[in-house]
Amino acid sequence: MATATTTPAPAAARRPRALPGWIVLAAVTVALYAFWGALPAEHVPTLITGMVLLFLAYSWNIVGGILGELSLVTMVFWAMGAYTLVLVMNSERSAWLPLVVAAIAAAAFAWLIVVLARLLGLDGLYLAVFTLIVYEIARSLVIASEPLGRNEGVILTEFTSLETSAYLLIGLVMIGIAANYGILRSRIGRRWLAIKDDPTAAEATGVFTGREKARAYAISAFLTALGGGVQAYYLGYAQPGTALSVELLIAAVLAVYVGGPGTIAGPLLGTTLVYGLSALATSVSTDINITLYAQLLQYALAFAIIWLLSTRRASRLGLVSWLGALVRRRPPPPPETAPPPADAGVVEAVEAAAPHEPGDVVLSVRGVDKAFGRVRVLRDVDLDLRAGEIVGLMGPNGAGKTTLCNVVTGVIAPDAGTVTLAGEDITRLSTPRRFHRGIARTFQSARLFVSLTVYDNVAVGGAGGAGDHERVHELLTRYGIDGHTSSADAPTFVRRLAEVARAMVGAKRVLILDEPLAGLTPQQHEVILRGVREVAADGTAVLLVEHLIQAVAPVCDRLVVMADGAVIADGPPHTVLRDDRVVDAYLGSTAVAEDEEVVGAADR
Amino acid sequence: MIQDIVSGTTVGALYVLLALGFTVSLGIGDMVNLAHGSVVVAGMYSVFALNTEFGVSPYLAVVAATLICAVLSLVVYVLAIEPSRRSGAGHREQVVYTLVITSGLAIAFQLFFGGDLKGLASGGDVVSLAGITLSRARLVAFLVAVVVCAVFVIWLRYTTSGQLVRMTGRYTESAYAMGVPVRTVFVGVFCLGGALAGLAGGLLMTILPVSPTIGLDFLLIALIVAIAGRLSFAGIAVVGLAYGIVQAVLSNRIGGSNTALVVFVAFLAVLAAQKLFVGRLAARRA
Repeated sequence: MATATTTPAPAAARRPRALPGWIVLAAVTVALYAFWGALPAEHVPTLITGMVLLFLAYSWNIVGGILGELSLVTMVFWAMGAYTLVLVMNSERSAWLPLVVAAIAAAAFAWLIVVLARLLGLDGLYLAVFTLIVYEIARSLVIASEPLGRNEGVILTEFTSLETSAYLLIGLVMIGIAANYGILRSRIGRRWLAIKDDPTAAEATGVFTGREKARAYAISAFLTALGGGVQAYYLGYAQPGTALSVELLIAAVLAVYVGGPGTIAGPLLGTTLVYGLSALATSVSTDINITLYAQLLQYALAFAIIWLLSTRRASRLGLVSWLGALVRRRPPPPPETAPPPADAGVVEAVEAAAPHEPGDVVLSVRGVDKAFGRVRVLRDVDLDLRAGEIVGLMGPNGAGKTTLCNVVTGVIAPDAGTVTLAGEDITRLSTPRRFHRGIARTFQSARLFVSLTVYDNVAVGGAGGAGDHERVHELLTRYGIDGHTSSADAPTFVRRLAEVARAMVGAKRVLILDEPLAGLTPQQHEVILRGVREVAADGTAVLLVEHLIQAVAPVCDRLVVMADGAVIADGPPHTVLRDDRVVDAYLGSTAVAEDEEVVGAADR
Repeated sequence: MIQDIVSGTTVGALYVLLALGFTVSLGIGDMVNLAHGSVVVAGMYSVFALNTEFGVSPYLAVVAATLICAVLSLVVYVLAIEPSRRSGAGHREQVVYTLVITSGLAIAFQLFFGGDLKGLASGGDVVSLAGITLSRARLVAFLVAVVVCAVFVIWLRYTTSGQLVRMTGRYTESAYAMGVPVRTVFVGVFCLGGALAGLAGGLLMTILPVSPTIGLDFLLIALIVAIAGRLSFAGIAVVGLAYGIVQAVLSNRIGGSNTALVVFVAFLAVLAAQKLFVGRLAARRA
């Protein structure tokens, strides 16, 4: 077990510097520009078509892969760029500035779509359907529009060169890759991946999901519109069949999903797979049927790979995860747990904890009512938490404990009553705002962000300053989990510790732990409870929701017991546990033997 | 006008049938099948091929198309639904994979049948009643659709086996613990949905021409009817019939493209209204 003293962070455990990646990107770009002219001319159109798909895949990866939202409206942005470029060039003006303006308009439109989807409360399938319908509306409008040339589209009157198209596309693809890389390396990418894995937990960790989604959509739409413009420049026309092609989007989406959604290499791997065969077919034959057969064969191949990957664990990341598994090191052993528990261990621990007088009331819940349909889950609940105080919240299943946590953190809104934090009424504040005001929590079921490393899981909620890095690192080292990188494959205890650490980073005022000890051994309980005491000693109020009274009672300053949605007891552990109503509600009147044991634990 | 309403009702009944297929997969098994429209098209081409190549009578071919589409759905299940269920992934993967199948099937149709519109040689029999004329094909399609929908809903609602299927969807783990072959039930539900799509497609073929890429149109119809109908049988029946009638009435007056625009915008308005007045968007279970 790592000691509580902070050791200097070893250099190897820090996040690797981003510099080599950028250098590689720059080198590849230079090499592509240098050697493009040397390519045999007959392969150029095939490669350009491939780059168009690759760029669309990278643009879509930002929303579909990293943020995890199935947006099917993408081709509308693509068309905005394509039609703008053709129309402006046909009026004999330079089209590049208007194209950028169109891209900005696309970004604004994307932002509007996020706002609408949020107002309608759409996600998953319903979001996909919504965006598909928006796309269909746009397509109907284009086909009905005379200036846009209806089904035939508009043709560029100016001659465009293949070479310029190629150079533009190389630049675009590299910009697309760089955008993905930059996002994934930054705190923004961390937040987007968190939203993909678990939007509720992300909000509880201080991520403003609406704002982040709007950003992702806008960036993706901006890039997409540029791509549409360059494709139209290359083709020499913009028409519904190309600029609004669902087939192109589906190919790009498949490329992202087979390659590895939300990864930097995924779209490239996927595009090679999804486009490679038909590229080969077009280069050997001009027969359209051969190309169609090649496309079918590719889809079959893609499904074969999806099928094979799905039989493996952790196949979320497509080919990337499979390739990654080939080179990955074995995970470090699980952390050492607490020193062997002598019976006296708990007592010593309690005595060792610096005695502290609870401070002022930080969090105050007054008269909270909540009903789900006809079931009243919370009835006129009052609760006060003081700075530096550890309060155990107990009660039988269905007593309303988790609902109370949800009301305090803003995951659900109460029907009546107020929640006040340090004198400020926060009843109507959103979950992330409450996090930034110092309320953090864990969830009953482990809700780690599996797309993120253990470090990033803990760091996701922080403000991102240099102090944050130190704090995160200190917590990871203290819990002995700094050697773990993958959070998806980590053992239960490591995941639990990471979740608790994640909440601790944000819990400047109030820390809520929902059943943090469930499923752990007594030694592991000690590790977590020690952390809780340290947090409380720093002046944070801690609310511990727990069934394991024996384990929790010794560390609590106060116990609050709920039954049927109401608080039935509130006071020092030894008084509360002797309360007849508590014994009755919690254990049933016949459970005398257990009763004695529990009270004994509290007395120790 | 009345003529339009009558012919719209016949098409609307087929929309109900194909949306019902989509809804049972989603409502009972929580399986998203965006290849549903392409399965409808497969049903259409099956009837076309059997009738023109082998001289099978259209209605016998419709029965065959139903079976063919059930088998095709099994393939879709194995390719697209099975991997996402196995890796514990949700709708996201199912949406992507079934969309890809839509794209793949469109290519296959193009290869086998060519890109142009194909239609059956129309019998031309006309039924006339109270001044309204209706082709015999439309009348038969309407009656079959109504009867099949009714039988299907009665089976699902009121028979022991139908209730077992619904409860397996709702309480999957309990059903598994009680020895229900859960996987078989889900595969069965998915193929049943495909069979309904095939039947709808086969009947549509007797009144409309087919081309490789219209699968997306049928998918949109299924999505709009199922979601606006909130995945309930009564809702689907009302929305499906209304869709058919509105489409028939409007397309003769403002053109097909504008009609589509009106329907899509109306759908978004319905979504917004549902959000406003009902709160939750769609009841997840049928």
